[in-house]
Amino acid sequence: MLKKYLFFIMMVGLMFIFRSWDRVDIETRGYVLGIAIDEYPPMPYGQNNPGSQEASEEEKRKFESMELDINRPRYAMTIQFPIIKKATMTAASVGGGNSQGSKTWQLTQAGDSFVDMNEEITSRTDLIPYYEHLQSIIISDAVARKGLHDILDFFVRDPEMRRRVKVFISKGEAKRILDVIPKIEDYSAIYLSRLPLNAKVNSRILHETDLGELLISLHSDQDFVLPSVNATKDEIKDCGCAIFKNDRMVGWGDEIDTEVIKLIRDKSLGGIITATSPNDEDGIISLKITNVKTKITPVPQDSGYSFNIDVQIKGNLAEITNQEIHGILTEDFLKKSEMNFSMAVEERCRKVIRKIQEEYGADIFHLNTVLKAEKPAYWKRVKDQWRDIFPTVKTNVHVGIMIRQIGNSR
Amino acid sequence: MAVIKENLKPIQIMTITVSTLLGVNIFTVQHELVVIAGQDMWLSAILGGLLAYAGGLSLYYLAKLYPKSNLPEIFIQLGGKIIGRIILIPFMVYVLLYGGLSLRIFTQVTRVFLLDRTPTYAIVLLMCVVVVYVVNKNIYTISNVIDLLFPVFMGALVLFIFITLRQADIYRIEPILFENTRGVIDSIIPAYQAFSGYGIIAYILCYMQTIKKTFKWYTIGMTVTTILISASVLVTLLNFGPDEIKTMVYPFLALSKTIEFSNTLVERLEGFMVIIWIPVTFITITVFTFASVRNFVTLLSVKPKYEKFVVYAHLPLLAYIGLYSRNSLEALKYFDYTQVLATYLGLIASPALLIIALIKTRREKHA
Repeated sequence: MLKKYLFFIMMVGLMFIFRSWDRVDIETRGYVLGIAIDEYPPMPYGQNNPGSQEASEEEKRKFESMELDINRPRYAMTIQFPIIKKATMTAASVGGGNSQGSKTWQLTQAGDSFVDMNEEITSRTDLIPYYEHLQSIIISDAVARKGLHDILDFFVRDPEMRRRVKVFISKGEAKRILDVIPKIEDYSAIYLSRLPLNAKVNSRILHETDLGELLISLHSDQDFVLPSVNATKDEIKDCGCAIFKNDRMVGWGDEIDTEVIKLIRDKSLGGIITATSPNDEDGIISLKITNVKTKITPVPQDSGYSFNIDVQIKGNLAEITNQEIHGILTEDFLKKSEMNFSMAVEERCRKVIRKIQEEYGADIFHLNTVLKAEKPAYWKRVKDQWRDIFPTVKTNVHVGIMIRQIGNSR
Repeated sequence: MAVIKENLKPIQIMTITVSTLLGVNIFTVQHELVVIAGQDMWLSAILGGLLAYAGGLSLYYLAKLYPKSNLPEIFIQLGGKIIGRIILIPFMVYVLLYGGLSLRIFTQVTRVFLLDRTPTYAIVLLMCVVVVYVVNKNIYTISNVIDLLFPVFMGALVLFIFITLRQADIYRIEPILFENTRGVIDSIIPAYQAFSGYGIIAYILCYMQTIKKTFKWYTIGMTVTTILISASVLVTLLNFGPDEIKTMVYPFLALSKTIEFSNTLVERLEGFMVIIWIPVTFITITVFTFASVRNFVTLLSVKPKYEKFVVYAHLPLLAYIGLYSRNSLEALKYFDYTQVLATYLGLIASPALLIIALIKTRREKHA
């Protein structure tokens, strides 16, 4: 019995001696929701806010460019803290975001090392930055064009970081995206991180674009794409993609390019395809995608391989516009519509593949992955020259369309 | 001779084997293998499991020849008081180091994933206290604790493996076996080392109610472990690909951080990993400490009433080994050295001892 008491006392004693080192009171945590990475100099500016009681831009910059280390600062990191007190508390007040002003606090720090910048930020806030709930990382195109390898280590090594954090490339200054005051959401970083969820209904939105996927591409020397974003004062737009060759951004893809890239990489979740109506050249028919399956097959040629890209799309007829719609839905109309959809998508695919090959030479369709998996002996021979071979590779796109449902009207 | 007060059931061989073998290896093996075998490392894991099973069989039959003795006692019976003790020493060193270094790796992972500000010594000492407390009871307490934890972590592990399949990409393991047969063969030994602990059968067979069915349950235990470790290697590969795994220290744990369910009650899956990680390593360290105690007791001919002091002595021993390494990489390096020792003991010493035991038994029968 005495032994049991002694053991109990020892355990309780240990609990007191080994106090909880990891305990941080919830109110002292600064939940970082978003990070924007810009080039420095110049220091990114906040949005104009005339009549504000906040510190002037000059005062802010003095704080933000505090010298950190022996190197000249190359980056400006902005982190977004939510102002919890200002968060929407009741359903009745939802949507009243603008009347209360920003519900977030963006802190910018210039420096060369991200962990150093993170530490320096704590000299300006009583909160401890906490990254477990980080939603979005926005990188400016200027930084992305210089390469991502140099800037990602902090986001990988720090145990608080998560591989599912969404990564975006901003057209212009990245901090601008965090400065957006959304109409419905409380925080721009969360608003931004949820945009890719709409890939189910919009095939032009990239969705598999998180830090984990980015790292896999970087470490396996794959070319890749990341979503590009632009913003007004209260709105963010997912506007296509940024194209990367190795770790450097080489250009932009528009939304149509993005749609095609997703189709070819078998990543499309849904969306709408439009084509001209079989009955009327001015008429438009729309197909709501329900299922896509893409198969890429390497085909031997005299001097290497070409690729057959077979895209099979199933969907529902969603709309017919600019023509008499009643009484035209015959089987023949549907077959001709399928043909028109097929031709339209094939044409888009060919155009985008040609554009990517000629302008960027970046294998964002991952044809090299197919070669490596299916023709490993050939791949072994050409892998070092693949970047030179890719722009000249021939592709043969075939798109099959199957209309499943026609909706409520005939 | 081991003092037998109660008996273990044959099925408990399975739970003890699986729990002990999973250990810290399930979290470190992926990185070890990918460097050698690349995308074919899952094949190495299967072959390593088969080799471990072969090694396990030699120890099983050795223990079966001396059904009332545990491994260190068998050594004494085989080699006599002096040679038997000399044979015992490398096994004793391996078992103690493996337990202590597992404790260290457990601490490192816990600090990286859960308690980053808690000092290493605090985690090491707390774990030591709990392990020593359980070992101080007896093998039946240990096996009952395992029986309690087994369904919890097994269920979590199987569920976790299935959930990770939803983001798998088959291209990441292709091409299969293309000009890489040598890589697969070379990585069989590192894969085999991931199954360290199969020798526990030689320590627990003497506590069995009956020898009957023990072979069946040991085989099931080894098969389940091989499947689970191979599956963990495969899903990690399917999710990350070989190049990404090379950059990771604990790929299987990193995998748990990639799974998120948006807008659901359970948004993240690290919780599952904690359910798996803590019990599995606790059991491994406990079982190895139990084996280490048996080794010391036999080596020093400690009387049963003083055995508890040998158990208490393991508290500073384990803590010292757990705290010795200066950093994570050094601890992993020592762990690798221990695994090399395990390979020699498991694949050379154990079969050799079995052959000697068979010859000796036959001679005794003839005599």
